[in-house]
Amino acid sequence: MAVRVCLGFLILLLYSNFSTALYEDQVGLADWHQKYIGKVKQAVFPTQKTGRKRVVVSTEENVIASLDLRTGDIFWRHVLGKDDHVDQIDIALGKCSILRAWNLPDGQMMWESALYGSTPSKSLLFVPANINLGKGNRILVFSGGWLHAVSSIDGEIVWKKEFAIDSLEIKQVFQPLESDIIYAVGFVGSSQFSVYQLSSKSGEVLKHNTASFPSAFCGEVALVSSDMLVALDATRSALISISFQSGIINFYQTYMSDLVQDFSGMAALLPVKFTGMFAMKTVSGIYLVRVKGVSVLEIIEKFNHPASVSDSLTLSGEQQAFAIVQHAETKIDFKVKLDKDLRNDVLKETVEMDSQRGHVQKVFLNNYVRTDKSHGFRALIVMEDHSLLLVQQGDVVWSREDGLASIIDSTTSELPVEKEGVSVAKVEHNLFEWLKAYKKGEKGLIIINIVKITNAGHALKLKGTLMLASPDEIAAIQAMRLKSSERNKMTRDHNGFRKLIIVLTRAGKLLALHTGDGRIIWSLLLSSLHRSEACEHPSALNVYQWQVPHHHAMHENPSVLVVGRCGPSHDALGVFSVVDSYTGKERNSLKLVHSIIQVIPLPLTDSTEQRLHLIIDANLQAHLYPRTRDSVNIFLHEMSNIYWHSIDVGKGLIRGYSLRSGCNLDVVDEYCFNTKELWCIVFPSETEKIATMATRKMNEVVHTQAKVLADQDVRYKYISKNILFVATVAPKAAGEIGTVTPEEASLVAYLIDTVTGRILHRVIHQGAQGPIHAVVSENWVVYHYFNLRAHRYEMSVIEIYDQSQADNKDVWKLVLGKHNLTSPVSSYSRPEVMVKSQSYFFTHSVKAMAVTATAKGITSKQLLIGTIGDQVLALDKRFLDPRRTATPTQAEKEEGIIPLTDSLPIIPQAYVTHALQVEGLRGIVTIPAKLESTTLVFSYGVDIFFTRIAPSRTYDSLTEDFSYALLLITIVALVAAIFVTWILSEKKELREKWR
Amino acid sequence: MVGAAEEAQLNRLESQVDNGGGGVWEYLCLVRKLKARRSEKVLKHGLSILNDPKSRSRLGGDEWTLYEQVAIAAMDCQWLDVAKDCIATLSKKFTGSLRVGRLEAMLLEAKGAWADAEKAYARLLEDNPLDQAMHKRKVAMAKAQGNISAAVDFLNKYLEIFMADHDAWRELAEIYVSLQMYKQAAFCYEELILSQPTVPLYHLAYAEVLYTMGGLENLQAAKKYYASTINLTGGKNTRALYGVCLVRYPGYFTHGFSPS
Repeated sequence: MAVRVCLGFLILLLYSNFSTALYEDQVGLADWHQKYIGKVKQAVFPTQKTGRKRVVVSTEENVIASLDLRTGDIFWRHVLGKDDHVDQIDIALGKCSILRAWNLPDGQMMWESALYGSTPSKSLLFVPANINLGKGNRILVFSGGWLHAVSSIDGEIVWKKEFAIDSLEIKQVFQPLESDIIYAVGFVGSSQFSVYQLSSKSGEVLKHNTASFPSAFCGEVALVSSDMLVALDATRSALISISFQSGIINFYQTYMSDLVQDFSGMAALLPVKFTGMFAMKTVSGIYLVRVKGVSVLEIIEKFNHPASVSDSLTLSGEQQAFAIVQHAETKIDFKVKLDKDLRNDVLKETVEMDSQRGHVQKVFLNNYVRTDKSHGFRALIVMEDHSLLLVQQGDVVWSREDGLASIIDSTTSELPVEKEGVSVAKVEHNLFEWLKAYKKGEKGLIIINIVKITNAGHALKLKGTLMLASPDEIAAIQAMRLKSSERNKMTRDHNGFRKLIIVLTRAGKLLALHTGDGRIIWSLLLSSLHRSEACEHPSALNVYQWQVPHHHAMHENPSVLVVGRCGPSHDALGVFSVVDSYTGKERNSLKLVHSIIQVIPLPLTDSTEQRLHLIIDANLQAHLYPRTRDSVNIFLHEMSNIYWHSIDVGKGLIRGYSLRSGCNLDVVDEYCFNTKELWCIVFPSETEKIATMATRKMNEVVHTQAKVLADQDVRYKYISKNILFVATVAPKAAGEIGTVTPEEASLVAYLIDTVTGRILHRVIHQGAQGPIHAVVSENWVVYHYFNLRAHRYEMSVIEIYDQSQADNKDVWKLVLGKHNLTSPVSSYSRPEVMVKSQSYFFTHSVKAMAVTATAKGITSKQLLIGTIGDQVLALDKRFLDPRRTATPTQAEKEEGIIPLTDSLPIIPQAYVTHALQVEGLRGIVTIPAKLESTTLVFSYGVDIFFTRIAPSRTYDSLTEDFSYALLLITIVALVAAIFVTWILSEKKELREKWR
Repeated sequence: MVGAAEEAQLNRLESQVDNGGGGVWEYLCLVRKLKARRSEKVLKHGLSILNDPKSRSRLGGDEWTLYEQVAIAAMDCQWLDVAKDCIATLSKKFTGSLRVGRLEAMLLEAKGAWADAEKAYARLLEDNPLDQAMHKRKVAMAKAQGNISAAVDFLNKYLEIFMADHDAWRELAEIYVSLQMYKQAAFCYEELILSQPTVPLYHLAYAEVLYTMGGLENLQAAKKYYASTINLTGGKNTRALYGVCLVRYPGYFTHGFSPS
């Protein structure tokens, strides 16, 4: 009994120590959460009564969402797995080999049916136009070589028919209106065209015709009418009209050069659905072509680039409408045409567009009936930066910055100092302009509101603290706290909570988010990452801090470096751009003459505080940036101390290099340096495959090297910036969990010194496999993997200590600062190291892992684990302490060592994201605040979430909702009471005297 | 008892105040503390403060103490009008206060209305029978009237209640000595020595009373007390030394030298 009580007490103690939970009213004070969906691939406008104000979209981030057409808010949203690409959506929605249907109003899944295909192929979905769920219509799905007819009520497969024979590739499946025949058309090989007619009731093949065409097809097909197709030939220079009416297949070839004047290059058919028309794209522009018969093609209109065409939309009659959007500098022209009357525009609008959104990529047209029964049109427009806009009546009704769903890298920047009037004004001005563009005059209203609120605020707040406030007032206080202007200021604050998070999205857009409320301060679509002749497929890679002025060059604004490359391969030429992080203007941009393999920010800055960066190209030559004499001088001075390493995952090699001056280039380039291989670690390719690696963060601060144990013993942490953690798995076990037996799987963890290539420690986990996530900090590594024997996830910790400092063991010497640590620490020396490690079970699988970072490194650390539920869990490092034992001694308990348990506890209050989910979590970034106790946490995926956490509570500051008014009133009341009692006592004394 | 240093300070302050150098209040406080009898100066300077409302209000609660001090000084100087004014102010402020009542009785005393004063004291003592000051005033009044036996009576009554009051014991001893009631006086001195054995003056006085009474035993005892006085003073008390000589050779100085 006593033991149980003791245990209970201990657990209580543990929980009270580690809970960092929030109160309900603190939600949203320090954190913000923004929901995004990603770049829209497809949009469907429901026509049913309830869904008329909504649009269903599927995106490149595998999100299916229903948006409000009036505000752009998300009604419901489903984030599908990483490998569950959405192929096509319609009123009923479908995807690759699994077909799912969702209820429109609330997004609940109605049914799911798995379709089994033998060969991988593109999937097609056809939903009959007159679908009505009540009637039990069938949805036709072509997937994996099979054509399935699926009941729209419960997802049951009514019949299926295999087409996989003869390398047939079905291109279109359709069912003409009011007909029982299903047409499936496709190519056999590259030159045979084939038409199947199937019965919609049973799937029987009614008719099958094949015809071969003398030259080859390229595969692109546009369905013009129910008996005609237009295809491109293999050279993409001729159009082939195919008619297959009543089983007779006719081909007619039209050369592009006949159709289009001065045609050159290749043409492509646009995947838009028209009747009697199709759209094609060439180098010179987009053409709308009308098909009048098999042999008659006529160009109706040509649009110069950049332009975009929407699908056709059937209006009430037999009329069809479609939209064309053309770009003209800062404006876009939005035109709607009817197919009956192509010469004239039904609607022509010009919409002002922010230049930072790039070109229009996709248009989805929707109509509505005005009060006078005429048709009104609105369009969803997807821009180059992945943002989504709704255009109606010549105005942007709403916009969503959905590029933020695909963040690839982030960094932070300080805000301007308050006293520097000039730069503050600049940023404010910037902000104002931004606001003006987006909100138009709402700012004034907001300011008035804020002023009103602050006047009444203090009294209310005080009421709240004294617990006198009514529920309404409490709500008002809460709203006020959330709106607090203090945290949204555009200046640096004392605690370092206000910063700019600069994120780089996949679209090549750079956005600066304010940490106070997550609003966008500025955004910049990098012109250097714009598609151009020289740079066909630009992609952004990383963003680095380029200039952080704090001692010298204070008048300069800080800036960030964005690195990208021009193509998907590693030897594509690099792109380099420097952006001012206050104003969001591109300061400098360079097209590099070499490729980018690796960017190494050096711990050196030049006289203007620009950080030196080494860029390693594909020929293993190092290029120094910035390219100034000053930086070369600084670099040459330190060159002998600079080492770098490269990891070749494919070959299982890790190589270490040093630098030498001189470059094997034809031109003399003093900023180019040669590299020399120093060491090489080869992993045996038959037993080990590199799975993951991790290094310490460059900017991590360690408070002290010494660790004093309970028995007055001192241990010295092995703190080297050059430590590299590499984990390898058996090549067989590199795949999914469950594909191998525990005997075949093994995981080897290495700690490697990257200067000398020395393996400091190596440990094998038998029967373990990936996915592995690792984080390195100070002198420890924590990694997460799957244990096949135990069928559970495990986390291991390795701590590494320096034994060469073992003679400095006197605690008192350490306390008095008399210990002899002046002996230089060199990577060349071979210090004896001691390693301790321990493993624990962990319930969750992990998506991302990070560790908190504080300004001085004094505060204890927490691991931030992105769980499979897209939440961020904060786990105290004390749980991952290899010195934990099952029965710690009293001294060890006092030191804070937790009794060893076989699994790590998951405390519900320790979720940093509390009730929210960061859908599609991909990364967690920790940024130290100026306040030692606090870390800023930014996590991103499809959503973005920011908060600040205090791993050891905020021991160095008052809470934000601390009532200064109450304190003041208490002091005043006390002083008054002192005076009153003093006077009373004086009187009493006098009366006593004269009694 | 006023020490030499304090006396010097008092004199210095007095000359400073007389020459208009300020520090009036400090002077008055010191006078009160040392219980010095400088009624004329106290009256003169105290009145100067009391007549100035500004400096009077600066005193706060001590204002009333000053009124009392000035009233007593005025009575001492027979400026009865001033005393009357002061007492009237005080009785207005503290109605029914014993302390003011005592002052009123003292005023009656100063006027020479002994019977009225006695009545007043008796009335006040009825309310508060344990008021030392009142008892003492009665003794003083009896003494002032020359009614020594009444004073002795009052003192004895007083000492029955307040046995630890050594000043009263000394007063009584001195009265007895003046009445040549040496035995009683010796008893008083014994009490004093018991209560304050380190004060050499009591030893000396007791020795002298014993010597005066005469007789062998008393002389022997007197010698011992002279000796203890010498012991306590470190041999610096001339009178004690002389007393030892007297006791050693009784009749030497009165009856001429005898060889025995």
